[in-house]
Amino acid sequence: MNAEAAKATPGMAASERINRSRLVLNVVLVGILCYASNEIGFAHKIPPHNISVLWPMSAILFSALLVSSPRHWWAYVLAGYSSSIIRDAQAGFPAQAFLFIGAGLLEIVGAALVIRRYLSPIKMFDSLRELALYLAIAVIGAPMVSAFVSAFAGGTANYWFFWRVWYLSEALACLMLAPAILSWITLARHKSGTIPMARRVEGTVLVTILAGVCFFAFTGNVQTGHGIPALVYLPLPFLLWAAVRFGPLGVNTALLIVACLSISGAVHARGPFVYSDETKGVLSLQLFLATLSLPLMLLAAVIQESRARAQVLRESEARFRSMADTSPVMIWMSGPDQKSEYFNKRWLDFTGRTLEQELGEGWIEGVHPDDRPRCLRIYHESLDARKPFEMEYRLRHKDGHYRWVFGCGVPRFMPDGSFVGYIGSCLDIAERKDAELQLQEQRAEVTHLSRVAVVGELSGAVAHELNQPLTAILSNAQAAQRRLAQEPIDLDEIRDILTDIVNEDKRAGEIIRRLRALLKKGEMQLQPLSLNELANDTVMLAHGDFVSRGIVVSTKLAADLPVVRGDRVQLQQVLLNLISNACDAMRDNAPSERRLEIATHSNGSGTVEVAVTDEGPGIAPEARDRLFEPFVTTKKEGLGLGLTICRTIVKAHGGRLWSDNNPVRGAAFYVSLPTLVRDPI
Amino acid sequence: MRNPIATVFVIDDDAAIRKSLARLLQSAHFDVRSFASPWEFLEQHNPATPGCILLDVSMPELNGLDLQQSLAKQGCDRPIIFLTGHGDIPMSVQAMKAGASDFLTKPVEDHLLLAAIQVAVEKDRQSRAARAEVQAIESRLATLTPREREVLEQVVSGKLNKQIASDLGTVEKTIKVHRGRVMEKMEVNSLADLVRVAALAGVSPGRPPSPR
Repeated sequence: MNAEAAKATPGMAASERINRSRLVLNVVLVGILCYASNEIGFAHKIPPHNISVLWPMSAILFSALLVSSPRHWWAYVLAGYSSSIIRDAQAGFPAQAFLFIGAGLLEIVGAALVIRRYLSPIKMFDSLRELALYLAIAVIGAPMVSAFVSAFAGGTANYWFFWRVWYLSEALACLMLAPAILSWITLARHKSGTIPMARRVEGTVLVTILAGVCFFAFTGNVQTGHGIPALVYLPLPFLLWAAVRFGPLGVNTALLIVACLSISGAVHARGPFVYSDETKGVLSLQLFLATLSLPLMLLAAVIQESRARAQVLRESEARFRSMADTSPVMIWMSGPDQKSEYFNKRWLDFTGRTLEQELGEGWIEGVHPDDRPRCLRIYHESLDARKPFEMEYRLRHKDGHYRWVFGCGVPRFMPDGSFVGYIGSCLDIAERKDAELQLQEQRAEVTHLSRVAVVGELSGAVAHELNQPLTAILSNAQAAQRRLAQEPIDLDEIRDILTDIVNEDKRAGEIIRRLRALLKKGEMQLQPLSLNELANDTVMLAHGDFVSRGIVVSTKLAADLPVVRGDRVQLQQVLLNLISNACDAMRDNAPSERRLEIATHSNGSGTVEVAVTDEGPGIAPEARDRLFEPFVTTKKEGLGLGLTICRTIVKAHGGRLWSDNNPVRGAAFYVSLPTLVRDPI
Repeated sequence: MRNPIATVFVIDDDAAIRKSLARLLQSAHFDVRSFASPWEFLEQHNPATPGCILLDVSMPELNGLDLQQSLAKQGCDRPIIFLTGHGDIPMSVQAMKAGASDFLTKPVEDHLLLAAIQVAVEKDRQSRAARAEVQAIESRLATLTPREREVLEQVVSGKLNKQIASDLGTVEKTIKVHRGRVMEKMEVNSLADLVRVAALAGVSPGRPPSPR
């Protein structure tokens, strides 16, 4: 950083200064540690060949390089080797010294470079794969290579002996010391201050007991009977404790304790590793330490890995829960047995029930009894078929009222394709539903008003229609009165008159009944409808009529007809009326020419059409204009309201009703209705 | 028998009403003939049959006013009683202006209906009687010689025999003879009667003949 930039950012300059002083401090610390470890290493060589069990200095420097920036490696290397160089200078730089320094540098820097390239020094001991790579590079590869170099110090006669001694002591250092150092540095850098007291106490107790056990096992006097060989197994339970409870850090630390005390015992000719041939003793100690650490470190890595996986799972679960619980929609999950196993907070807040009450099939209790059968049918059918589903139903709110909800669910599959249940959501659509109902009410109101208008317009005509039977009744009755006043009384005529009065009275009653039906404020129950289904149902309804009138019915129903929204009963009334008219129109046809056709088709432009075609005489030109006017009828007994009501109903559905004569013969009545456009959710 | 012999022609498209009205009228001793439409009635109509028409005016095919006009073309002034389901004022006014005998609304009370029919039948009878008298007078007039007719015209204009004789260029005695024959032929006994029948037959008072 140049001076100008430093002025511009004094904060950065300050942090740079702190980093530099920390670096100097670290370098000095590494120098001191290397010096001390050299001294300890020399002090703990086992005579008479002065074989070292574990050479600590290279592990210390190796660890330092791994956790520092390569820009500063030269400083660490210089500091690490300064004590060796001083010692070699005192000895007048023997040829061996260059070999050892060269081999050491090759090993440390080489291993550090490769590991930094491929591994993360922080998580190296936490996963099986990374640990295996670490072992291959730092414990097997690098020490072996350097051993080939340093072994030249032993000349050709002792080359392989020197090779073995160098390799084992370097490898063991990288196996037992470096992992402990790196674990502690990682802990210090990333987790300090977050360790609970109980764990600290447990760790201290473990270390204390392990140290005591090792002291007892490895520094006892063979002659006094304490150096029993089987005692080497004594630390094993505590190492397992460390592995299980403290993971790689615990294992690495515990192994270091075992190594220190066992080496110390061997150096002082105590414990189980004292042999008459001390090279054999060293070798067996080294093999003991290696065979002890390898499985334990691997075990710790495995445990750590599964723990990390469990942690990830827990985190993802927690993330899901917190997402689900803060979500504005209700969320549920069910298992492969279709029993619900989870409801989010929103759901429980809505229903005001506990999770335990809702689990399994408990949630069904909250569904409105009227919706329950439909709801369960859709739910189980979809789940059996493992298909997504959508439905609307009423769910009891905690305030005791039922509210409309929109629910949907999708099947859940594991990556291997196995079915594990459903996840679904539920949206409170009470307001939308309310609006819908309101709209429906308004529509019913409009329909009613338009009917009232129709009736109001024609009340005079209605009066006329009623006047007819009333006139006949009055005249008949008064004629009878007169006859009764005359002698002789003609009882036969009186009887005829009374029969006619009864008939006319019935006729008046029928007119009133039909009028009332017209005036009745029928609520339109709108629902998605298939016109094809409606046509088929209506044909079935009129089947008896067709048979008795000798009419042959054919249907031509378009496939894939879009659904419409309508009132099933009302639209059926319309169709029945049209069919009945068509039948009436063919009353005078020859039996072979009484053919009726009902056809549906889609206009493509958002409407579908149903046509009722007959082979009757067609519509007379003068009648055509007034066909849909109330009380206009061509039938002797007709009231003339059928088509008027039909048109009113169709209009209330936003559709159109019209008629036309066929090119050859007969007439056709058409009803077109808008197709259902799904409400966006 | 309280009612004169008269026929009521009931025209209504509603069979039940036709039947009930026929019963009621028959119970009041009218002769009743029913028709489903005005056309049917016109086809079979005999203007000579005395009686009136009871017509439903709400029939779509031909309304009562049309029927009235058709009858008038036949030279028949048979009274029509209109029967309607909704008797609105404009319609009743129009009907009465066109000469309807009465205008009744359905359902109709028997005494109202029968009273209206009595009136109509009486009207028909009177008009028939008046028409018959005029016809008789006219046939009697036809028997007069031209000279007698001239004398009659002069007499009804109020002239004395002497004046008539002088106007016609003859003597008073001759006029007296003519006058006596006219009185005889016209079947009257007094001058007042002669003046009345001459008026009924539309004989106009004679103008003085042009001076010779």
